[in-house]
Amino acid sequence: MSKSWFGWAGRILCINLSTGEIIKKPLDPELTRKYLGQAGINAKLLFDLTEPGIDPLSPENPLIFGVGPLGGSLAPCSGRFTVTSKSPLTGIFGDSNCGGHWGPELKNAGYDHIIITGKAEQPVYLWINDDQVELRDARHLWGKNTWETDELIKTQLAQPSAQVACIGPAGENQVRFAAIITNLARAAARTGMGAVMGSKYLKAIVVKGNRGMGVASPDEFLQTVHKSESDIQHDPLYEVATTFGTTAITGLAQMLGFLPTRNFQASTFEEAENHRGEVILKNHVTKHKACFNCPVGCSRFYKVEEGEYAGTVGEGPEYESIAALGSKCGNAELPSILHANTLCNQLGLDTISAGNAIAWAMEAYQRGIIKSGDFAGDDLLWGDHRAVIDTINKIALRQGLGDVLAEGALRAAKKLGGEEFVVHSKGMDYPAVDVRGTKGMALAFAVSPRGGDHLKGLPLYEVAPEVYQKDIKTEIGIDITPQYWAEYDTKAELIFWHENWHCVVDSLGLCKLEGICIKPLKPSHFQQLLATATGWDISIEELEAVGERIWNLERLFGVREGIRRKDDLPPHRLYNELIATGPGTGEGLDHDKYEVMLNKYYQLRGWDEKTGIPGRERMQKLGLEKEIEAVLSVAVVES
Amino acid sequence: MLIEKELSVSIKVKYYVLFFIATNYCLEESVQLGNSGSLGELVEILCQKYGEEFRRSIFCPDGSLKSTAWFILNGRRVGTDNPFSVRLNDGDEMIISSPLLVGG
Ligand code: SF4
Repeated sequence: MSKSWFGWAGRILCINLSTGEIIKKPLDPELTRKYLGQAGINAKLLFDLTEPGIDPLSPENPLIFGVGPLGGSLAPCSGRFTVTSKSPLTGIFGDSNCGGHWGPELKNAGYDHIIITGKAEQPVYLWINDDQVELRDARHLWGKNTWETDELIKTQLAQPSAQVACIGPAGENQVRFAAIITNLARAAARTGMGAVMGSKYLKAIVVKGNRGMGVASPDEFLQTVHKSESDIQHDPLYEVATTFGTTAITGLAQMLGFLPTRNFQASTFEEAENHRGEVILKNHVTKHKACFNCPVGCSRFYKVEEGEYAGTVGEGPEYESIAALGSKCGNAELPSILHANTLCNQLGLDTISAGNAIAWAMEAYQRGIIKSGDFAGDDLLWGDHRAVIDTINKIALRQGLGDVLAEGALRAAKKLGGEEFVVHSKGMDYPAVDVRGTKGMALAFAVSPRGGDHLKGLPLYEVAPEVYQKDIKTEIGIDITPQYWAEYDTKAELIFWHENWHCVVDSLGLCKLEGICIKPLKPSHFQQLLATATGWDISIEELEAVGERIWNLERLFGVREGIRRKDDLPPHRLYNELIATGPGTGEGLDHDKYEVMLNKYYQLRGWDEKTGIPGRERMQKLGLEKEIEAVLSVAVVES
Repeated sequence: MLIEKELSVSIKVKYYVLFFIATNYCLEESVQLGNSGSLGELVEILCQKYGEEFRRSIFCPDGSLKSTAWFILNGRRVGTDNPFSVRLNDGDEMIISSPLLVGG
C-alpha cells in the first residue's frame, strides 16, 4: 500500500480482454478531488473512454468497477461498490451499486477501480490475489448459475473466503437486464451490467485482499465512526430497518396506496396482506444478515418449508423484488415470490426489470396484443405464479417469449405493440412506487440519468413528512407540510439537493439505506468521515459541489447519446391516467404543474429549459468545460 | 343485554412494523371497545394489554404522540391534531404502523 494514500488504495487495474494485457496504474489525485471515487470516478472514466453511439454489447464498451475512499473502512455500511458501463438496456449512462463484501475485498487487495476493456476469445475469469492478477480459463463455468460458479471457483482456488462477483446464464445470454451477483444474493442489478460482462466473455471477478487500508487520522476517524454508528442506532426507525429491512414497506405501500399492481393498472393489491414483511418474518426468516461492517443488518435469510416451493432458500427479498414478482404480476403466492427471487439471483437477473417485463407481457395478453398460441406454452395470466417462474427461466435462457422479453419491456413492446403501457423512463423499468401520489418522486424518477429509478435521488421524506420536518428545514431550508407528498412546490429544490448527496454517498462507498442524506446520517457525517479518513480539508459545500459535478457528468453522458427534455417526463401511464384504486383514487399528475416543477429543476441545475441540455456557464463553474464542449459539438452536429 | 350488544364496538386492529414487534408478533386481532369507542380508548386498552414497550412505541416521554406512530382508519390516515378523540364505529379497521424508507 502506498503511504501517500489514505482512504483510497491508490491504484487502478486495467484489463484488456482482447490482448490479455494487465496493467496497474496509479490513481490520479486530481481525479479523486473532483469525483471522490467509486460511482463518481467510474462515471468520469466511462465518459472519457467511450465515443457516442457505441454498441453497449460491443468490445468498445468498457466495464468499470469502483470502490470509494470509505469503502472497506470502519465507517458504518461501507461495503458498497459500483459497476458502470454504457447500459445495454437504455443505451445511456448505466451503473449499479451493490453491497456485500466484494468491494471491501477489492480495496484490501490494493485497488480502487478495475477497468475492463475488449473481449476475450473464450470464457475467462479474473483472479486478483493482492498483486498477483491473472485471467483464467472459465469454459467449465460457462452455463453454470451464480451459486454453482461461486462454489466451484472457491473450491478450485482453495480460497473459501475469496469474494466472487459473477454472472449467471442471463449475463452469458446478454439479457439486457442481467445482473452481476456477489455473495449469492447481493446484486449489481440495474441497467444490465451483467449483459456487458457476458458480452466480454468474462464470467467472474474473484478477489482476495490482504493489504488493508490506511486512514489519515485514526483517532478522529474512530470517533466519527462511533458517532455515526450511534446516530444510526438511535434513529427512531433503526429497529424497523434492522428487523424487517425494506420488506416493511409492503404494508405501508398498500396502506398509502402506492403499491403498483398488475403493471401499474392499480395501486393497491387485494392480496398484499400476504406479502407483508411481518408475514415473511413470522413464516420464513431463518436468520438476519449484514453486509460488510454494517450495524443495521437489514438483510435476511429465508426458507420455504411447505408446499410447491418447499426447500427454497435465499436472501432477501427486498421490497422492490416482492412487488416486482408479486403485485405487479398480480401474484398472491408469497412462496413463489421467494422462489422467483432466488431464481433471479441464481440466473443473474434484475428482479425489477424481470418483474416489470413479465407484468407488461401479462397486460399484453390481457389486451389481446399477444394472443394465446403466439408463443407456444407461454400464455401469461395475471396471478399465475408458475408462469412467472417459467418466464424467468425462459428470459435467462432466451427461449420463446422469454427471448423477446430478454430485450427489456420497451424493446418487446416496440416489436409486438403496447408501448404505452411500458412503465419506464429512458428505457428503464420503474421501481415499485406509484409516483402519481408523490410529486417529488415523480420528478426524481423521471430525471434520473440512468432512467426510471429510485436510487439516484429518492426524496423519501415525502411519505413521512412529520418524521423529517425539522431535519429538512435544517439541511435544505424547506418548510414542509403534513400533506407534503401531494405538493409540487419546493420539490425541485428537494430533488436537486438529494441527487447531489446521493452522488456523494455513492462515491464515498457507503450504503444509501443508512446514508439517505437526512437521517440517520447526514452531510456533516459524510464530511467528517471523509476528512478524517483521507486527511482532506473539505467543507460540506465543496462536497455537495462534487455531487453536483458527478450528477451533471452522468447527465452529459445521456445528452451526448441524445437525451433531451422529452425524456424527463414520467411514463405515459403514470402521466396520463389517474390512480384507479385505493386511498389515492382519482389522483394524477397535473401536466402544467409538472412542467413548472421541471422548469424550476432545470433552473436550479443551470440546464436549458427548452432542451434539457446542461448550460455551458454552469458546467464551466463545475469544472466540466471539456465535457460540455464535447457534448455540445455532438449536439450541434445533430441539429 | 340486547341494547348493550348493539352499542358495543368491535374493531379489527392490524399491527405493522414496530407495532408488530411491540405486540409480540401479532398480525391482527379484534378488540372490543366500550360504548363510547374512541381512538384514545383503543390505545389505552392496547397499552394495558401489551405493556410498556407498546406504550413507548406510541408516546414520547412527555406524553405526546410519536411521529413514528401512525393510525390508519379504514384506509385513511388519522390526522395528528387531537387524534385520540376520533370516534370509532363497529366494524372499523384500524392499522397501527410506523413509516419506513422506500428503497431496496
Ligand atoms: S443497511 Fe442493509 S444493504 Fe445497507 S450495508 Fe447494511 S445490510 Fe447492507
